[in-house]
Amino acid sequence: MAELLAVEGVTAGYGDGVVLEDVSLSLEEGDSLALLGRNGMGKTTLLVTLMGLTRLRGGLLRWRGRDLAALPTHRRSQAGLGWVPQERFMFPSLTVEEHLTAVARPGRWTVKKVYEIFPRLEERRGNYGNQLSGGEQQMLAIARALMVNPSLLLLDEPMEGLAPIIVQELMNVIRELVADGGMAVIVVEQHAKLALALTRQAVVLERGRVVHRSASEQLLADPETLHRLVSVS
Amino acid sequence: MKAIAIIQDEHRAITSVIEGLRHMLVEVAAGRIPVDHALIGAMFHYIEAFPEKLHHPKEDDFLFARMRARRPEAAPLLDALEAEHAVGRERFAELKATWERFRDDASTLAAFVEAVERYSYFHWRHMRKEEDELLPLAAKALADEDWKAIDTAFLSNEDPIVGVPASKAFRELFRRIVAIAPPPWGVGPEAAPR
Repeated sequence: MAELLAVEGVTAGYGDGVVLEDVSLSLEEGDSLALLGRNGMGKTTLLVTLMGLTRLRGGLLRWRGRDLAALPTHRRSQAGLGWVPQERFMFPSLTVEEHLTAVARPGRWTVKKVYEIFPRLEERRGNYGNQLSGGEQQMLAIARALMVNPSLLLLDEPMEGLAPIIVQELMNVIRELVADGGMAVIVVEQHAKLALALTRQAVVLERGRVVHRSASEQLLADPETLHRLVSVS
Repeated sequence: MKAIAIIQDEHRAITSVIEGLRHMLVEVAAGRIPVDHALIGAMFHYIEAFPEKLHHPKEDDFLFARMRARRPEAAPLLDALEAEHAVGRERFAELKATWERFRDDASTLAAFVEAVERYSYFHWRHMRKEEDELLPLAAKALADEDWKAIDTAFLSNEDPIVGVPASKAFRELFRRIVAIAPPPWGVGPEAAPR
């Protein structure tokens, strides 16, 4: 498969503060990666850096062989990066369907198709963003990112704060998206086993640096290493 | 070793439904939401059928069998886990009986809640034993050829029930539970206060 994304020696942060140091990873078209680490280790910052919302102090970001860092955030979205931020960012003045149509770009993901994977959103199509439950909001956040028809979906703690049944349902949906192979996925998740179960490769960050990389199934089968790398002492 | 992720995922799926049921019944007992027997019925069907049709047979016939061949010293652990699969069926039958009593007589709610708590604890301990003791041992003990056979079994959708692959049928059942369970457990309609 062709290279989709390359992060090479990236150092980045906010203002004068450095959060990521010399981070490198790569992703092929249709690939999947779990980005793991304890709280505050730079996982979200890496996603935000891919979206162009931090200060890039060094290194390269390459997207299909071209310089991603040169693009402003909205052009990165147009280029094929779909971002599901941790905060979800629902608009109280927009209905479910307006959230979807406002960002729609041509491609295989249409309103009809996202309603097929999230039937509840179709039932709630006329409801406003602030009238949705937490589970419905997360479904809408993922559906909205799909409407951009991304080549890479960035999921930042998609299970956070949700009840186990909804977590499992989102796991099922994300697994289907990954298996479909039509787009690559990076999953940031505090619950490491969830992210590892969804992905092909894993990278662990510690204090802004990559300290481990392996196949996800290999890390999942090695509870001692997993515990050492991601558990809170 | 894809089977490890699948086993853990299947555990999560069963646990999520049991825990959802447990938490909802706490709310029912506190008088905050009404009881929904259709939802409980869907959850019971999942908790009963998913392990029996899809999960335990693959564990017993493939993972446990290969472990017995490779690690005879693991026999006590495997015996205990297989016995728990059988005991689990009996425990679930008892649980189902308490639900049926509750359907006929609402005053038995406390007994039903307690039975769900007990079943939840039994299931949790069994699952932890498999994930904390058996799977790490299996990851080290089994050879690539073992994992290939186990992975194939766990990835297989060739277990037809009601005319469709079992995994698809359970996927639809799970989706139905999500759709009718009230928030925050699912995305169904808000439960009206009782």
